[in-house]
Amino acid sequence: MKFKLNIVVAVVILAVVGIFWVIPLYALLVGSIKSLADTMSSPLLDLPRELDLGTIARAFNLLAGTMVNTAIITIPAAFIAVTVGSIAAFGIYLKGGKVADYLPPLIAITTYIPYQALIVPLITLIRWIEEATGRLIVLYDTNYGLFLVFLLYYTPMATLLMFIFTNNLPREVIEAALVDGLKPMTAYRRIALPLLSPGYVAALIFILINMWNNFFIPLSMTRGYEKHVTLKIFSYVGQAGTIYNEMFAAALIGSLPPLIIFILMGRYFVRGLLAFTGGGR
Amino acid sequence: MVDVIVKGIKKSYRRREVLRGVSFEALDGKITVIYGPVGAGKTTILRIIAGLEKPDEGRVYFGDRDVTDIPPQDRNVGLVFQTFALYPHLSVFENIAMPLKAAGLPIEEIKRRVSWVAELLRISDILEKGPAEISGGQRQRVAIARALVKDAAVYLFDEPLTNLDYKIREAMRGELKKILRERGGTFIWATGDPQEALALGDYVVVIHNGVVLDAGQIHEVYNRPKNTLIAKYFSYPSMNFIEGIVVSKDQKRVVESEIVVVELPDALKSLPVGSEVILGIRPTHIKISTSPIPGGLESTVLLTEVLGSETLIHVEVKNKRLVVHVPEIVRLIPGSKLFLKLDYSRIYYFDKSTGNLLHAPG
Repeated sequence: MKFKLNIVVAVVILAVVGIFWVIPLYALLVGSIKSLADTMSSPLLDLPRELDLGTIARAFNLLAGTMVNTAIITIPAAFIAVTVGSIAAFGIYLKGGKVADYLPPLIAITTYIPYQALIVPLITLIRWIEEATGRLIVLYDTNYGLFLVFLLYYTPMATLLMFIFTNNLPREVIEAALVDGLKPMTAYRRIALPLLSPGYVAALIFILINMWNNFFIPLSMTRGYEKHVTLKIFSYVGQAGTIYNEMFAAALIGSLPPLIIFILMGRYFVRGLLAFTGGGR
Repeated sequence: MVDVIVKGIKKSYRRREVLRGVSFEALDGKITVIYGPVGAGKTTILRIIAGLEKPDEGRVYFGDRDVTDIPPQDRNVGLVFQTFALYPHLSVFENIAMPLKAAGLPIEEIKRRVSWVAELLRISDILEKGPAEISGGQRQRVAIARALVKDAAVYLFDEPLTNLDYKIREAMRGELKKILRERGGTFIWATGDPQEALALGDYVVVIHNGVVLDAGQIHEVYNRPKNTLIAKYFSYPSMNFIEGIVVSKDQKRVVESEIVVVELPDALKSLPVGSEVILGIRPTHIKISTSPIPGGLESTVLLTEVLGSETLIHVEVKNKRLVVHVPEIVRLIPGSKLFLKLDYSRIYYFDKSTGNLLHAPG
């Protein structure tokens, strides 16, 4: 009987949490298919009086360019961050001893530092680099500047995530690779990486979604609203008023790619998390 | 294919001393067994020779080359782990080929060598399978094949038979000795099983608590254990010890103990009266009878332990426990009477205060 009660409690909790998540999503969905007059006059959660797909189409046309640009920046940045992170984590794992005891906590501390605290020194540094190279390298308000800052900011987090997975590598298998004569980088590529793949994919999804949804870094690194999807959505909040239905539509479209990635790759994500708790494979 | 020389190795893990000055040599073309109980430091020695651990003190030489500071991937050793440690995502062929690929051999040479070693270990039919699809005994063979496939300076085996069941273990012993002979090279084999050590080894290094108790030709060390510690640990089944004192009786020097009186052998005739000695007798050198025999010791059966095709009988003689080995299956009821006849000519004599061997039977 007690077992059943547990299930009931779990279902109730999940349902409440689910409602909290579903309501805004629902508002977003219905809001984006209403006409502007409809959005302004009817309550937020009411169904539209007439279906207006024009808003979505308009928002998509406006957003498409920015979304492609965001993808061009974040996908390579996420790949490189997780690759560098997994190599770094494997290096720490191989080194072992004091390095493995003290370096990961130090990396963890860097991930706790909020964006706000970093942004002034970061912009100062970027301006200094631009001046020092005679504006040969321009990082502010450029795609590769944004890419670089994403990469710098998320690599420690990727390292930390991957360290969880490298820590669970079967030690003797990796040692066998070294004894067999594989250099550390070859051992990483041929032996460690295939074993780490669920963790690698999980970390990649996590970092990619974080980069996609990040608002503060593009806000401080660029002018205008065109380079990153979160800025573009924000641009609908105008001084003269907000075009709610278009903003809803833009927010809906802007949040679809992470959702699609998660739905497609969710299996790997969960497998990665299971691998780290020992229940995987 | 060089002599491996280990000199004064010390190693501690978080203040626990695992090796306390270990030195020995393993000769080219020979199988050197590192024998010791669990926790003696056998695995640590092999890991230091492979380069997976750094010693706190001491050096490791391959021939006259000091390899102590060389990382494992540049040492050219073959190592068989106790857990086999196969690459789970690669086929048996790719597992065995890995050391050759790492060495950059051409693909034709790799194929030739893998099929040679696969034939040697009789695993040619499973080369395309994955490690998860084969049996424990086969995984063992693959791990050994992966170590033997390259021309290593030394081949190291960390108790590779321990994780196998009894039947496969017995069959593997005999076969492996032949395989290693055919392979040729320097072999260091760690084990805690005296039967395995005797079946495989040419030389033995007996270690206990991180120190070498004795080293030398295996039958020499086995037949002439330097002291009671070696006699106790490197013996199958474990030797029986009986404490006694030298007395003079009817113009003869004898050792008198609670349960037996033994005349001293000629070599020990000069032992002064009053010397305390320990008599050692192997369980195999005690004969049994269920009916009284002249000069037999009456004992009470405590329990019988059947191991495969042999039996160990634990008995008690005047509060002194002895173990008797019988090369067949025998079942005796605990509490029943058993008459023992000790083969006095096979008794070992140790000094009680030092534990050192005084005399071994010829």
